[in-house]
Formats: sequence, structure tokens, C-alpha cells
Amino acid sequence: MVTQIIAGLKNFFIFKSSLGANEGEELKKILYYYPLTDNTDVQIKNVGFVEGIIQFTDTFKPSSHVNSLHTNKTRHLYYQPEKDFWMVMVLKLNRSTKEKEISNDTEDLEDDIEDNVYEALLKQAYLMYRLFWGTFKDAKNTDSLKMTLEVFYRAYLQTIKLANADVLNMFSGIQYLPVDKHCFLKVQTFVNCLESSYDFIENASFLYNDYLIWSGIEPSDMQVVYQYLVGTLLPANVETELLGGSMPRNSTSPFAPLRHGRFITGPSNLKSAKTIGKVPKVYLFASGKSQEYHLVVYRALSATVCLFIKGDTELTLDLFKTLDEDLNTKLLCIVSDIADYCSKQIITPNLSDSSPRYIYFNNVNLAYSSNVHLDNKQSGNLACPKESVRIATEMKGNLPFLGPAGETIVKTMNDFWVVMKTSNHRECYIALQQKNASLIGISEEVKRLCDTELKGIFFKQI
Amino acid sequence: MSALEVEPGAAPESGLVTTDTLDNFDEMSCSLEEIKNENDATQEEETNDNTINEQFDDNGVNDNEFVNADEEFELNKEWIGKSKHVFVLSMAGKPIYSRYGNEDKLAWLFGVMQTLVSFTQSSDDCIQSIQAGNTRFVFLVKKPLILVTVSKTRESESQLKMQLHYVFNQITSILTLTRLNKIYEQRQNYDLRRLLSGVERLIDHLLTFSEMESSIMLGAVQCLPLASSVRDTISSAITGACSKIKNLVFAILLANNKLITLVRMKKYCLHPADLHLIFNLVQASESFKNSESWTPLCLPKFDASGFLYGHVSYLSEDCQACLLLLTVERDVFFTLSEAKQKIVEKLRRSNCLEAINESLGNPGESSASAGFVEIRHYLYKCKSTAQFYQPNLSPPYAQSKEPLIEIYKRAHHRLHNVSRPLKLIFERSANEAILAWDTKGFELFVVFEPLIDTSQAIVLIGKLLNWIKKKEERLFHLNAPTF
Repeated sequence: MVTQIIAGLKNFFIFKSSLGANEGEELKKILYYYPLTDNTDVQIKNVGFVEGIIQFTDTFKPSSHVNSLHTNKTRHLYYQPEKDFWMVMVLKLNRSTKEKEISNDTEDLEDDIEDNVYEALLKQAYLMYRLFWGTFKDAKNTDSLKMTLEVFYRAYLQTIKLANADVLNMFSGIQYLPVDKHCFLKVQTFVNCLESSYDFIENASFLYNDYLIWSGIEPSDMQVVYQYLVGTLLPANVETELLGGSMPRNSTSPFAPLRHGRFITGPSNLKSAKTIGKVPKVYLFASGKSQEYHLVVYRALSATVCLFIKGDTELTLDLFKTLDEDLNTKLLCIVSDIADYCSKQIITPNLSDSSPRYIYFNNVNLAYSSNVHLDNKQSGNLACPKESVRIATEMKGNLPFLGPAGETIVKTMNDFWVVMKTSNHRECYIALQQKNASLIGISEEVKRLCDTELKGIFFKQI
Repeated sequence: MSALEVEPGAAPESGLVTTDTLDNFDEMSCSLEEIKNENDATQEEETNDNTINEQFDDNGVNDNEFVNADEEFELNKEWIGKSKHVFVLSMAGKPIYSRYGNEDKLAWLFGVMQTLVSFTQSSDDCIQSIQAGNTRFVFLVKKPLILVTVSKTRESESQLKMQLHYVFNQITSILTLTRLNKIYEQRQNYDLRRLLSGVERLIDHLLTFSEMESSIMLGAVQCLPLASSVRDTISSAITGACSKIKNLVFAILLANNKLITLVRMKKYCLHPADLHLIFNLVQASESFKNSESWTPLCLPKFDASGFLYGHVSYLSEDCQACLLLLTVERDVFFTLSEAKQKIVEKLRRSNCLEAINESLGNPGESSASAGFVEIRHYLYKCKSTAQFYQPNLSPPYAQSKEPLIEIYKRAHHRLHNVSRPLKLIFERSANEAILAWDTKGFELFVVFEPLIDTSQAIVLIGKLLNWIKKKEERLFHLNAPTF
């Protein structure tokens, strides 16, 4: 059996095909190139190869531009986010073959690495850049674009977790926290109140831990903001909180009211702050054109509030102080309500190996939930065999063939079962580890599971 | 599921080499030397160009007509819209074959493909495939040739690659691998088309065959349904007439892309991939119908280094089954011609010709007429004999077979994915439900009505296997007779 595993990132580059059309000026095309250890000749050669591939494939008028290229040792992913701009990611592959000596001439190598997962990663890399810097074409000039790309991707590439990427990257979904009417109305009132009392606040979103309760912005924008919050901003902050770094340990007076809330972006300590600190600018695109906002994130206990403040607003320390007063008092009571509600809902999860594992995704609101992934960090910490998740990825690739509704049940060589159901833009993947089950048994088990765990979601009755 | 003691169609011995996957596709045996040495036959030099050209003389005319029509083809909408292009070129980038259009006019495209291959090779790597939306580009670099396909057919990379292997084998079957290598060792820039005039037609036909039939995908052949007594009589007629002839390796009787019988020299088996090439040769060559022919033929899986010589003829005017007698001797045409006459006489006397004709005239049972109304169609492959059976097409596939083939190809690919094979797939979509099942002894692909109940599907499969078991003597060639 021949399998391929990813050994790392070989190249990552961005170029603009309309630049440097003259011979000898090819270097001008390249806007960003990783790694810097490749000399300019190699860079030019690699970009030239990609341009050749684009031209060659376009000759046959495919339904879209080239997506990927496979060689024995590498996997190339291509993405054209804007006209003339191309992003290329090249992965190094290692083959693990049981019989080493045949590995060199085995030509018939199957895809063990799903292109669509890595295409999703590449697209995510673009969307994240666009969130903070806007589109490539809106950059002031090529030099400033090159600079911002360099600043952004140098750091971003470090955070990509290639080896643990899976079907979740394709969803790039949002985890919602289901709450009761009472809590939900409180959150909604709070957000509405914020938006109407401060006219510079365009929208606000509300999260509890890693779960979204209310989003004031469109799902397609929230998707990217959510990835940033859950993937980067919040984990970094929880760590500093644990270290006690940003929480003042010695209160000036023992009688001062205990303050829980603070700004994560903005002045970290309002009392001592002289400047407003770092507040990122973000660009949202759901309206069809680029809109600029200040992203102010405020956190109290487990709740996180994201404020999208109009880009032309001048942020002052006083403004933050007013906001802090208001947010802090209102939030504390909401958070305790939510915490109360959640503590009542906690069911000890059934963690035995044979219990079914599922990943659920709704294409309409981009909601996902999974008890396969044990954390949100893409650490590869899975509650079922990795093979099952890969089969799920493959099943997702097969969805277009199924039409509006369908189901797939497969049995692996290790006698695991993986089931996929789709209907009404919802997808559900279930991994079962029941060695001696029959097809009938499995289909009944899945039916039972859908009735209990996924109540209220309509799946075509099988 | 059902408990059958022995899977239908299984036999203790098989005349066909059995393979599960493509794993060993590159492996070739060297059986020719062995046979020649064992039988002390005089070894002779390789055939020269003339023999090859002679064989395809009758096609030269057709070829010229093609060239004229091709001139309007140049990269126009029609050319671009073709669902599958196949290109063959030399390592130096010289055009050898293009499925559509004139190679000379597409020379620049061949140049680009060669550049892509050599670019990746320069870093000690090799290009495999490209995906662009609905179009898949697959490269097979098999020295001394480069084969490329550009496909919008949704076939998987491994299926497309297998088709390229077949094209490569088709070319070797005309030239032998030894000769092919020698040509390019001597002159890298050689224009191979000079030696391959007429072979385009075989490749064209082979590609259509691989797209429209399940046999290449399954790595198996279908047999013409015949009562086992008839099949045995035919086999013994062949053995009787040929047992005295030295160095006869295989005798193959086939009709309408189905095998009637295969008689072989002891110890030697035929690989299904080689048999597919033989099927293709017979199907694509109208000229065999007119007269007895003598043709050199290299079977790449049997021995890629040299030729077998084939006496090819149809049994008679009134029975369109084709008999191939393959030998390692290059000058025994008359001996074999005589043997063929004897075989035909015997078959006529024992009424076997009629039996063959009757089976050929009968379209065969559809799964509904066999009592399986909910089953639209199925493929059953017995692994130990490399044979498969499928019922006659019925609605909704009777008019157009393509959707059905596409369903099977997708299921087959997922079942046999090299890095993640599966034992069982049951998939229900808006249009149909399919069950694909791989066991030790057999493979089964069944297409159901979309609303079939899962448990009912299981019951039906049990019944279906029993039905096939009951009919196995008729549907499969269970003996592997030898001379």
C-alpha cells in the first residue's frame, strides 16, 4: 500500500501575471515568495512554470482555471483570488511505502491527500489577508502591496497547520451556541442597544467561549472574522490571562469594585493607558464592495463582544472609557445567565470508543458541530480514526453527484463504518466503530442517531 | 449477507491471469524465450518493418482521408469540446498520436507537454496530473514515450492512467517493447508514425472500447453464454485439431466482444489486459472477415520483448465467431489453416455453430426479466477466473449507456482507491441507489431503483448471487483446457 504524507510547505508565492510582460523583467511579477532561500532564478523559473500550466490548461477551456497539479513528490495548489493575481502553494510529499524499492517506479499513485482541503487552506490564506488589508487590487501601489504581503504572510505561514488540515477546513464553519429564548433575547437586546446608542458602532457580534450566539454581520464575513477570533486572537489572550499578564494583580484599593471586562484590541489597561493601543482595521465584503471598520474586541469572563466601528471614526481614550463602563456592567449579568443555562445543559459526553462520532455542517448559516474534533486548535486530536475523517472528506467531494439529497454508507478495510447524509443543504458525516455490524444494522443505528442528536433537521427518510 | 459456499463462477483453474488491481501493471513476464527453448524451436531474428506494414496495408487509404478531414480541426470549438483527448509523443516531444486533429498542426501543443514533463524531471520528479475545474489532465511517462490525456469524462486519475497504459501496450503490441526502445536508443528524434500507420485506428477503437465497456475497468472478460456441454465440445474440438501442432500457445475463440473459449499451452496463462488487446484487434479490423490472415502480435503482459504469430479467421460465413491461433513459429500458416478447417468441420458436425449463433442472436436476459424488478443493472466479477457477467441493458439505460458506465466507474474507483480501499459502499442519490461490494472471491456492483429499502436491497443481493450461482455453468467459462 502506498500512502503519501505531507512533509511541509515547499513554496508559497503570489504573482500578478499582467506585470513584467517583457523578457528579463519576470521578477517584477512576483509579489511575495517563500522561502527566501530560493534565489531569483529559481523564483522566476517556478513562476514561469505556473504561467505555462495556466496557459496550457486554458487551451482546453476547462470550467474553471487550473486548481491543482500533482507530481510524485509535490502537490501544487493554485488559486486566482482576483483577476491576474495568482496564489500558489506547493506542498512537499513524503511517500511511506512498505516496499521501499518499488516506490521509485510506482506510477499509479492514488490521491491520499485531498486537493479540496488544501485549496480551502489557500483560499483561507487569501481571505485572512483581505480581512486586514483589503483586496490586492485596492493596494496603493505594487511596492506597498509587496510590503503588506511580506508582513502578513511571514507570520501567517507559521500558523498554517498542514498536517492536520481536514474536512473542517473545507467547511470553514462557525460553531453556534444554542441557548434558550431568555438568554438569546438578552443577548440580542444588548447588541441592539449597543448599535443604537452609539452611532459609530455599525454592527456587533457576541461570542461565549468559542461559540457564536449573535452575529451582526453576514455569515460570509463572520466566517473569516470567526476564524481569526477563535484561531488566533482569543487563544493568545487566554494564555496571557492564565499567566496573569494583563490583569492588574494589585488593585489600587481593596474596595474598588472587581472589574472583569477589558479590551483585547485597544488599550489593555484603561487606567494606565496613554494611547488607545492597537486596534486592527478590517475590511468586510458581503455588501458587494469593500467596507472598512475598526475591530474592537471586548472580553468579560467567557463572553467576547466584537464591535465593528465605522472606519472614519476617530478612536479616543475617552470613547473606550465610556464603552468600558457600559459594556462591563451589562455584560456581567448576561454572562452569568448564560453560564447558568449552560451548566444545566451539560451532559457528560459519551466518550467510549464505539459511540458514534459525527460532523455536521449547514451550508446556509455555515454552522458546524463535531464530536470528532476534541479541540478547536487543529491539533489532530481526533476521537475517531483519521482514516474515517479522510473518507468523510472524499465523500464531500462526491456530493455534487448525489443531487439535492442522498446518503452514502461505506465499510472500510478495518471494518469501520462511515455514513454521510445530505439533504436541504445540510451535511452530516457519522463514523461508527462497530466491527460486526451489518449494513442494515448500521442504517438503523444512523436513523436512531439522527432522531436523537439531530432532532429537527430534516433528512430524507431512508 | 448470503452465505454461498463458493462464489458463482469460481473455478479451480483459470486460463486467465487474475489481478485485483493495477498494482502490477508494469510487470511483464518473459514467456517467449522459455517456450522457444523448451521446444527447441529455432530462434529467429525480429521481424522487419515490411511485415508490419503489410499487415496494415489495407488501411493506408482510410488514413489519407482522415488527414484531409483533419485540416479544419485546428483548435476549433469542436476540437476543444471533445470529452477526451489522448496524445502520445516521444521523450523528445515528437508527435506520435492525437485522438482528434492532425498531430503536425498540434506540434506546438506536443512541445508544451514535453516541456512540462522535462521541467518536473529536471528536479528529479515527475508530473502526474493536473485538475482544472471539470477537466483532468493525466500524464504517463513510460520510457521511451509520454502519454497524455485531457478528459472531461469524470473518470478518476487511476482509470485514465490505466487507459494510457493500454494505449502504450497497444503500441508495443505492434512493435514489441524491445524494438521500441531500440529505435529511440538509436535516434531520439525518430518519427514513430512511420512505423505505426494504421495503428491510430486501433488506438481510436481501444479508447472507445475502454469508455463504453466495463471489461477494462474490471480487468476481466465476459463470456458468451453457452451450455457447458457445448463449450466443452468446442474446446475439445480445438484441442483435438491442435494437440499435435508444436509451439501453439493459445487458441482463442471469441464473438461479439465475448469469449467463447480459450485453450492454452500447459503452464501458460493469458492476462486479461492482453486479451482485451486481442478483442480490440478483432473488433477494429474488418479485414479479418474477408480472409484468413497471418499477423505478428506482441502481447505485452505475456512477453513484451517479442512476437507471437497469429492465424486469424472467422469460423465461417454463417457463424461470425473469430478464431485466433497464436504460436511462436513464424511460418506455420498452412498448418494452422488446416487445423482451423478441421475445427470448423467438427463444430459443424456437432451443431456447435448453431449453438453459437443462437446465443449471439439472443440479446440475453435483463435483470427484470430474470425476476429482479428493483435491480436496474449489475456487474458481477468472479476474481479467481477474471470473468464477469452483466445482464442486458434495460430502461432507463437502454437508450444511453454512458450514465450507467459513469456510475460504475465512480463506484469502482472508490472501492479500489489504492490508499483507502473499501469493502462496501451503499449510496443513494436522487437518481439511483448503488451497492458496490468487494469480497475475497468476487466483486459486485448493483444499481437499484432510488427508493429501495436498505434491507430489501440486501435480500435481493442474496437472491441475485444464488441466481448467478445456478446459471454459472452457462455464464462462465469454468474449465481452463490445455492442448
